[in-house]
Amino acid sequence: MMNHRPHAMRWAATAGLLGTLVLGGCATKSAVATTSGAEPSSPAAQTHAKTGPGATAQTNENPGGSEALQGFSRNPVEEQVTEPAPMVVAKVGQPESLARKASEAAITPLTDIYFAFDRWGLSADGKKNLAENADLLRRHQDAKILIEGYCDERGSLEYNLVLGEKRAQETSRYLLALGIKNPVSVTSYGKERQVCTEPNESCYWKNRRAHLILEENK
Amino acid sequence: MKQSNVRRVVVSVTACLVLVSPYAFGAGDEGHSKTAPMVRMTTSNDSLELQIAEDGGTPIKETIPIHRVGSIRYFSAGIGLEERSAHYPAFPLKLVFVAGPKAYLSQVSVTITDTEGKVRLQIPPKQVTGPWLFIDLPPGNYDISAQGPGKASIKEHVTLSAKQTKTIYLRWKEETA
Repeated sequence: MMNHRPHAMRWAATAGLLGTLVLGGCATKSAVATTSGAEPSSPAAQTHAKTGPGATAQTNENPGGSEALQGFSRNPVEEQVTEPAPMVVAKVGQPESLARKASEAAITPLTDIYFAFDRWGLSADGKKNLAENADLLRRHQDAKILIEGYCDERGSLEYNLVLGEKRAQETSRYLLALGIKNPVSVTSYGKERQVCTEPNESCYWKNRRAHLILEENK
Repeated sequence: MKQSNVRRVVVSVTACLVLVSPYAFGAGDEGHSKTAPMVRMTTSNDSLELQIAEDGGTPIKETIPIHRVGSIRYFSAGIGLEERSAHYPAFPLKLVFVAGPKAYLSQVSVTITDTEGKVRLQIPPKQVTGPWLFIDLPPGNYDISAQGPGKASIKEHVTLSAKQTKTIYLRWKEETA
């Protein structure tokens, strides 16, 4: 009689364990469903938050859509492996940056032109570097040049956009005055796309620049 | 003993500053002309021409458009120290747009009404390219309403007299970005 009790307890424990596993499995799937619906504290949601508004918007556009439900037939490990959000983000973010890096690596290196704080006039060093750039450009007369103007992080967004444009325009003007025949276009990123983000002067200086891109004609 | 230590510290700090200064102040600053640019300005019918003299080089020429609504003329300037060192025509009103500490703002829309509530001038933000806006208004009392990009509207009252430029600073509390 005394031995029946441990058996009963073992059965009860086994039944309880099975029940827990079954219910636990359901609970896990419920949690995943919540995660797919962009739960702010979930890892998937955190990934969305870090990777930018585009990806988040895409998730919000279709929170209960078929893509989000595909993982329900798999176990949680598979769901994690086939998590769609990072791939969507990669598609949004990568081509531009990769293309940009590839094009920058492919071009003949033109020297960046740096500017003094809150100035768009060229420095003596800037003019010297542009003269060297012009020598190189004369050997690639068919190539188009894109000049991007940048500023450091200080100042308002709008002011820096105009200042960056003036830097790019002044760089263009000086190159043309040196006699280059290449078609030149300018654009300004203001204080966006900083190459250095530390709040010190050496970092600010790296951002106050005109970046020249040589685009070979196809 | 203590004094020699202090001397040593001072010497090393000075040495560090000498070594670091070209980087700390940046080649952009280092290579730039130390003299303030000489600015000459000629006025044409619809624009201002700025000539910024450079050491041993051809001067930089810049054109600033003058806009006109009826008899009122206005123009925007003040991007970079080059433009801010120029002496502009003495228009009766000069507005300076500031956002946060020392941060200039541009792309501001401005509306000026007279004491009877009649709108005398409405300037779209795309014409306000710089943080300075000069307006050739006749003497009188005006209400100025200015709105920065994504910011609340600021109102200011001004009395203008002949032969005197009144400068009004319109300041928003925080920087845009």
